[in-house]
Amino acid sequence: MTDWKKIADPRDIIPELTSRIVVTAPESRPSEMPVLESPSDVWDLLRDADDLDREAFWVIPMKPDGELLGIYVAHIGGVDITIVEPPVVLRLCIILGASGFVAVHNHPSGDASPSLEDIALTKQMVKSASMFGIELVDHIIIARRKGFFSFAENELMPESPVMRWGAK
Amino acid sequence: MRDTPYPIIEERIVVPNMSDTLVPSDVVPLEIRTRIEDSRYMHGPSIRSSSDVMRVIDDAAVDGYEATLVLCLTVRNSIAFIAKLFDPGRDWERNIMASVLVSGCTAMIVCPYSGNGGLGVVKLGKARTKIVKSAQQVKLRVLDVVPWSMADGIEYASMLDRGWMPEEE
Repeated sequence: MTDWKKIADPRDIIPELTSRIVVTAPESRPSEMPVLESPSDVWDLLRDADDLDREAFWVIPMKPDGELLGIYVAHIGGVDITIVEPPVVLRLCIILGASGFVAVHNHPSGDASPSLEDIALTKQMVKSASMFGIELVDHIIIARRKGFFSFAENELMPESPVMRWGAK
Repeated sequence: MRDTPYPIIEERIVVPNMSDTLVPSDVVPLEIRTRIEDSRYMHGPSIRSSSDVMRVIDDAAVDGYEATLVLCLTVRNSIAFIAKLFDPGRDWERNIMASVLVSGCTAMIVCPYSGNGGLGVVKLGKARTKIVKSAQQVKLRVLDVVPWSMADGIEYASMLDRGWMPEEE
């Protein structure tokens, strides 16, 4: 059986410094992809990748039941900033037919607290995705193995999504 | 009639080549994959001003495509893909934006088809407002809205030439 975690390991592609989807072909994809039920699941998935020395931005598109459709490195930025373009995020979700997605980025500083820019970006992503009926389930900041910050857990999501954690 | 040149943005914005780097083709539904392949390999003409758009509309009319035409443009304003939307239903704006996103472009010129209803001022204004607002929502650029009609032969109206396009943010 294919080891989905190995396929999805962001460390495999980050050195390429390029945007690409890490999605397996249907024939090599496990019959059941993992279901993400909480921010902790996302943390488990990406904790090994958050010791990067620069910011990266991942998108995890999901089916309505939380089954992930892959992990996508949308952007890689500098030490304390990365520019996120909503069209890049939306394009992926539309093509994969995702019902929702989780956005994740890292703070190389080790402080997972969201900046004002992070809050503004979350609002923008919710607004952009709503046009296509796609939901931003959560925006998670991971910080150098020291933990994570979940916008949903901290009730900072601009709208209460239908696809909530643990609501399946 | 004015023939206002379209602005060409600098190439600092990177439009990823979807087929090469983003999507393994075997996970993409066939119809979308076909569209992506179209956009990848079609090196369409450069669109410099509304007269170029009108030539595209003329060709579409000759071919019988009486539909909203969405010209998805590269950063050099050449056509990467033309989406033809025949059903103007309630998802009209959404489908326009989805076409541009799927083609991998970030800019568009939209040519709504008014059938034989003519190009009334109110209709033009409404179409422009809907498209511009939707594009702003998803951070895409609209260079022009050029409604067209077959009321009395082919008619067009470039919003940019009329000075009715809002300034880009």
